[in-house]
Amino acid sequence: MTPSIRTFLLINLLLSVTLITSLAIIGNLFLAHKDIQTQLDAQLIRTGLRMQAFFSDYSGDRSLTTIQRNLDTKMNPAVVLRKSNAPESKAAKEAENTLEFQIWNKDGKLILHSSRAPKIPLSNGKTGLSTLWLGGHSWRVNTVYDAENNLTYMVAERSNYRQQLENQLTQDSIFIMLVTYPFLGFLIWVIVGRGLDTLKRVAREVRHRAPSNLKPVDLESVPSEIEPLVTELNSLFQRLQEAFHREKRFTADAAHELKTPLAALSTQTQVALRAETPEARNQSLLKVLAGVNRSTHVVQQLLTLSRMVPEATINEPTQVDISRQAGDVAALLAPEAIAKNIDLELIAPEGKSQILGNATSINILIRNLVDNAIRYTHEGGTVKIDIRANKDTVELHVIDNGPGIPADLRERVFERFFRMIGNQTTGSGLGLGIVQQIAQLHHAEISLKTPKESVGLEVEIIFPKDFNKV
Amino acid sequence: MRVLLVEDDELLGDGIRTGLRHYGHTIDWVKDGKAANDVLATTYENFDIIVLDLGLPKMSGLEVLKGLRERNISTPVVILTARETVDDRVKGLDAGADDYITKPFDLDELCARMRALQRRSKSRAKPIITYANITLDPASHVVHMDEEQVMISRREFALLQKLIENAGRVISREQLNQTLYGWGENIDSNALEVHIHNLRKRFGTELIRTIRGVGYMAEKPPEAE
Repeated sequence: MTPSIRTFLLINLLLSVTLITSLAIIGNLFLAHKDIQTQLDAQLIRTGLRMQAFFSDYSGDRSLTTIQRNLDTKMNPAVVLRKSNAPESKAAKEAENTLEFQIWNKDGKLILHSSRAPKIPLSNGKTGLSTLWLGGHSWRVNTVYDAENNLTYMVAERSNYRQQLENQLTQDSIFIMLVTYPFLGFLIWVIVGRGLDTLKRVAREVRHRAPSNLKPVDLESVPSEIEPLVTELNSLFQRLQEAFHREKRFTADAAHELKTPLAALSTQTQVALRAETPEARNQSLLKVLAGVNRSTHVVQQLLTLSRMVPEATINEPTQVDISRQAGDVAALLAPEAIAKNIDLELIAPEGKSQILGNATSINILIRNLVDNAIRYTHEGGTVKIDIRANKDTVELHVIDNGPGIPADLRERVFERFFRMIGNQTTGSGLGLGIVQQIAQLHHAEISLKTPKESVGLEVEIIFPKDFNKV
Repeated sequence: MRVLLVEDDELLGDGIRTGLRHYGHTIDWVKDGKAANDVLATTYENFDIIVLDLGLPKMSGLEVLKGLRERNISTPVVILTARETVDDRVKGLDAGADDYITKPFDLDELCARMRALQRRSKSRAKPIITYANITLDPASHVVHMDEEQVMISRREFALLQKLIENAGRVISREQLNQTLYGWGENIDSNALEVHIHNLRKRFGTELIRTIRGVGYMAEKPPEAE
């Protein structure tokens, strides 16, 4: 089974967010790095200028020993802050990483320096910003030369402090990301869940349906994404409903068709039992017999039809000679034709009318058509079976000069149990339905026509010689 | 009783017609819904009961029944059909049927139900019809007068029942003839007079009054409840 949409979305969205956020953080840090460097460099420059301002009146005679001492002791942030036990230990720690400075006079003598500054020049004396390696550390140095007082100011900061700052930023970003992550996941989970609620509702609606409820699902309440699915589902429902309806109608019709002859049998038998004369009893018994024959015919046709369900396919098709089958049928039904004084004629080419199919079915098809023709044609009429072989097809025509079927009823005669009103002949009403199903099994085309003599009925069936090629 | 049978199946219709004749009923048989509707739309055909199939050509039995009830005709209707679902029964009864019998059925039961409907339509409680000192049993076609059995023919029984059940009302010759003969049967123009004569001979001349030019009438019995 495909994993749930919710899990899929959750995992993929989280992965995408992680990727994008990481890229954003990296990009951000890269830009921040530049910004930080610029800011810190600016600070170095500013500090250099301020120091220059402080010493603008320095003449070289004033001793700076007191200032130096204070710098080393009283004003040393490391010393001062350690003593005061300040609570903001982090800020205090940061304060220790102050800028270092050196002030050199024209003789190359260090006249003033911050407590932790090295005693050797921080730079080579070239003014401006530079980065250099000194005492095992990398330094960023701003060197300012005061020509008026002949003093050189060097303001420096250790690069690893800068690095620390950046690392801190990175850590903070990652920390925030990690903290917000569960919230993000939770939100995605909830939002996707809410989005999928409609899906669940449709599923619930379908789940709670009674098997007989095949009404379409209301498309109004369905999100547009799953509308195609629901539409397909609805069309399936409709097809199912039609099939159910067809089956239900068939069962009802079959029950009707079986019960009416049974009722006739029972009634005629009761009449026979009450008959007052032997003649009357015989007459009723003959009617009972006719009823039994009719019921048998209906049952046989029903069984045939049930074997020819529309879903069936031809198992093990063989070469069937339509001419031969028609010959067999004609021989079988000839006595009935003779009894009604009907001229039964067979026109069949020898050996050219082979098709791929099922011999029994073809026999049933031809028998039903010829039987119908004989049944419905008046006494002294004609019934013609005409078989024509073409290149890829074989045509079967069964032509009679009986009453025919009006054009507007030609579609309906294939319906099960449909019988034309007003004919006194007792058929099962299933014959043409069976013919149609067998024709469909063989991918044959069936059509009802008026013969060129313009009376009667012509049933034309065109069989492909190989139904696999259709 | 004069029965209209509406049934499209030849063999079954023939069986019911022959069977009901044995019970002394007069049967008229139509084979499609439209014919039934046409017959029932005319005013001069009077039926005591209608036996109606539902699956009929041209017009369904239910439509025939609805049309009948819409025209405000209350003739009892028995539906005789192969449709046996509860839904079908309910539909049939709601459309105005008085009884519903499914195929296959027993002829005796059909007749008993027809008698019951006839009894109800005449608002009788007892299955035996009593008129002064005369009693009629529609089930066995036996007539008693003063506790003594009187032998009369089936047609005379039908005639007597028709007159007694409508005591106090004039029944036209046409209606009485319809009670005796189905369509297509040869009606002897004197037959009705002959039957009336026979009934008067057995039960007394004052039982049936002749209304000249109109028909016959049984007087309302003085002690009728």
